[in-house]
Amino acid sequence: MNRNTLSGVIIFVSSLILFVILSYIAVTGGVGKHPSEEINSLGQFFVNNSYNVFNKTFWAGSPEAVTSILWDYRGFDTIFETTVLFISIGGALVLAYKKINWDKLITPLSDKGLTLIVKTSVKIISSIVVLLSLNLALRGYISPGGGFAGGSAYSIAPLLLISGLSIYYITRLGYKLHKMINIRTIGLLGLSIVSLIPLIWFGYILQNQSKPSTVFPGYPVYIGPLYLGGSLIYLNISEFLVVSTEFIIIFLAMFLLLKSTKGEAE
Amino acid sequence: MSLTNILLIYIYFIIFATGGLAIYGIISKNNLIKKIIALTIFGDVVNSLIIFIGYRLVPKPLPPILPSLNPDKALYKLYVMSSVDPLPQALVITAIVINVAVIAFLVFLVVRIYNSYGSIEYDELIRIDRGGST
Repeated sequence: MNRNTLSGVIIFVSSLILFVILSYIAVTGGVGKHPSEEINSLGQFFVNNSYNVFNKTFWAGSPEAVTSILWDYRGFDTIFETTVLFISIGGALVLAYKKINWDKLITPLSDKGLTLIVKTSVKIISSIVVLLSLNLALRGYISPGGGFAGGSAYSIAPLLLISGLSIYYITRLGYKLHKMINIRTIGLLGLSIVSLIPLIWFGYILQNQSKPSTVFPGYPVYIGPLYLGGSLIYLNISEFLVVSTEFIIIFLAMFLLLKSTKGEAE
Repeated sequence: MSLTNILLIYIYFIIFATGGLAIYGIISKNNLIKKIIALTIFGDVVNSLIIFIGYRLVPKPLPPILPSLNPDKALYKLYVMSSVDPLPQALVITAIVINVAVIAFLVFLVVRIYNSYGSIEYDELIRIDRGGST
């Protein structure tokens, strides 16, 4: 038995032991009494209050408990998460930037793409994806979805178009790297403006509805017959802009980097 | 032992078995891209476990969304009594996005490693680093 096989066996046995111990702990009650008829009291608080029309002291104005936790009760979590995404995209771009051959972008190259069947179906599917993602993002405060889900779904459309047609086609459609960075900045600006507006009334950062201790009246839940769900809809739209453009930036930079690498090898 | 208990143990078994496989892949695979794939699987395992902990053992569990904008008392009470825990789901959305950010950064790093060294095999990289030829 040589050295590599031996270390492979040792690693396999160790992960097997880890798996057995973890399963044993979980099954014998290591993660609490689970599952039971009662949920965690913190989770129960959010379920009770997110759309409590009978007692509006701590309500978030949205029947979607997950979105109201994301943007109201635990809004800071989401802000810092957006920061992590921002920093990692920045880091990835710094790694890629000098290696990308920007001149190749402007020329159509010899990109003919795939066959007509693939091209047509990719166009149809990507338009459906765009509609679906807009639905996810704009209705995220009353149905499952939200800024993240919508944004990551939206970024699939350009990815499909890149693989089915070409990166030249994408840039001609208007998905240019610097434009994407500008739109991302608009989204981040929207996030900060919506979260800082309550400070004018001496409220809290990211406050959504009125609280007993502040004079901030809260974002409007209804404008006429139109249901808006407080600040959640503005935050969802801003987050949609941020996440979708950041993912498109990743995909564009990745494809350009691969293209430059390929050119070097030849 | 009831059917619910057996199913419960089965789900834990599957989750941890996948987790163990993912850890094995992260440590033992030689190809950096395969390591990253194992890492994504491990992230998904942890997310599934967290979602599973939020489950509620009632006859008809509901998603944590109130189905009406003008609920009456009965509907509201039904929702409060049978909705699953929304907190793990909110935390998992955060975890997924951070996962994506980390994976994107790692993939860029691997492409740059390939640019510089011409290989993404771990053994090969160590050999090159110790002064071997490319």
